Amino acid sequence: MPDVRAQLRYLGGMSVEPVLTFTKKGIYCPAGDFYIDPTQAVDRALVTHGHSDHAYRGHKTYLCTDAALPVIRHRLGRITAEGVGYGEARTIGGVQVSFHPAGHVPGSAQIRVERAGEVWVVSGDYKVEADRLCEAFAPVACHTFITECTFGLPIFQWQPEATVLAEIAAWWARNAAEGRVSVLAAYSFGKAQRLMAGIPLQGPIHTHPAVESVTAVLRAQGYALPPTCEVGLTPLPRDALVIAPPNVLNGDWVSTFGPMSVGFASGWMALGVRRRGLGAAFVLSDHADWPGLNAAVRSTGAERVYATHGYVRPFRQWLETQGYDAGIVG
Amino acid sequence: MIRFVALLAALQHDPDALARYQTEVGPADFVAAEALLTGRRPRRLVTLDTLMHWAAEVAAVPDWLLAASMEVSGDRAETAALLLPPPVGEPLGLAEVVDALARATPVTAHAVMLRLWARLPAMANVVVNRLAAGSFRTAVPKPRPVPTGEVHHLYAVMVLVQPAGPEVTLALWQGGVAVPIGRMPLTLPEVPEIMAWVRGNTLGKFGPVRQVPPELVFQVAYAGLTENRRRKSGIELGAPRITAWVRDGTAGQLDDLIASHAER
Repeated sequence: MPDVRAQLRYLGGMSVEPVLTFTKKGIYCPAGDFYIDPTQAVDRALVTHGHSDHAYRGHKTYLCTDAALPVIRHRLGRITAEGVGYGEARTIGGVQVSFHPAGHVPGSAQIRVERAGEVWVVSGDYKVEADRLCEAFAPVACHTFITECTFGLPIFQWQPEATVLAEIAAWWARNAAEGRVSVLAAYSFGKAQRLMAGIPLQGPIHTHPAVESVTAVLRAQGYALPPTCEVGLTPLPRDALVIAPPNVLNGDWVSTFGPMSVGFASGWMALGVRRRGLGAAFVLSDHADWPGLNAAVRSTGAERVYATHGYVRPFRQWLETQGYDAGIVG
Repeated sequence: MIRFVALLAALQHDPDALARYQTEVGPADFVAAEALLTGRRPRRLVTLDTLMHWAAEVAAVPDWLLAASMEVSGDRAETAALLLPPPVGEPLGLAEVVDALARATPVTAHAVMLRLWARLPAMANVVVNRLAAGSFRTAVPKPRPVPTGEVHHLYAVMVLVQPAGPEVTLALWQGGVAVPIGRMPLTLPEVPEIMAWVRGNTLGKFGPVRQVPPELVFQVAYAGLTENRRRKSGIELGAPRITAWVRDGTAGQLDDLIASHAER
């Protein structure tokens, strides 16, 4: 049972115990006694998606979407975990919870928590524009919305995905024509597969082992991904696109590739200061841009909004000027 | 304009980029590009601060949010460009942009900028903003002999100073390291101010020479570039002389300038 005494406060005879509270271990639901994306070991963790800054090790039980579970198991090994379908309601200690598509990576979810008619939604990481791989973001009506704001400044505005993917394809084609292998840096879960699913193919796709293993997991789930080949298993053709995590690009791993061109695909590539010293730069993010964040907040109909993960202070202040009761998680 | 932005990026590593650009664009755009790449940049029409505020107005971004954005970007021309809404209509060519800026007056500048901005994506508007503010700088392309007699400019940072004279050693950034390109006399009117800075910022003394942090940027005029393998930089400047101290701004702006020379 949750420690109700510690959480209950009375104001004018009305219960103002919040549906979710912010603790050292993460976002906590006192009534349901569970955490959302906790950063320290807890008994019951609801996890929005499989990235390592959301799905931590060491929890006694995990609850996530069916679609997120295989990658989370792949990354965390033996865990006690259960999957639920998108939109499927569960009751935990008198609180209703359900998971809704966040459009960030395959299986990613926003988590809706309802207690006695009051609805809170934790966005997790999300992207508003649909891509060819993950379940498209779906706004969820709520009273209180806890939103990420990784790119919560007006200088972050993405071009349509198709425009950027065409730029990457043109870069790949030019490299192939000039005998250079194209090496694209991307996180091994999510961005890597979004790229291989979306870039118009100019040759074969080869992968770093870390990318290949996650790709195999997603392919087995039924996500539509093109054929890929782990680097080293066959000779590397000059018209290949190699997808690899950014951290291996400075080491020995790429030293045998011969002439190559290195590209980076990330929302941060919008900034010259982040592009400096890198090769080709493509502005492609799995997070909502400024217009996307604002549209998402509006579409929830929420009156109260908490900002987390990103430019929380300016984004909170901005939300306040837009008439929201705005705060910061923490 | 979009091809010109691609050219600027390609010039960092591809000596044939300019030749390829010539096949991609009309003669007017090529002539405009050649002029800019040889240092004939337009005069300042408007300051970067003004551009940033005009862009914030277009985007309905309040001052405090503009400041927060600028803090993250660190670059006024970029901040202004990134705030703008996406373009509509056919993108403008380089010659059209240069021509519009050349015809603009302080009175028409605001309307001209809004018109140009509306037709170009952010990456192109960064360059438009630098052109309008007179802060456009080009990197030194692959050093090759160029015809003498024609004056070129480059921007370099001061790394060593010999107060007697005074003489200074200037350097270009190559792969994150300041590589000296030559020693030359410093005869600018700002010498007293520069020497005061040197006294306050000396990192070390080697006989009569003082080492300083690579922070002050100078414009150097030179008659041509030749390859010289005995020099660490691999280039020899013909008849170099320091023509200006580039002091228009903050460390952030100097960073931009140095970044544009980050690779030859």
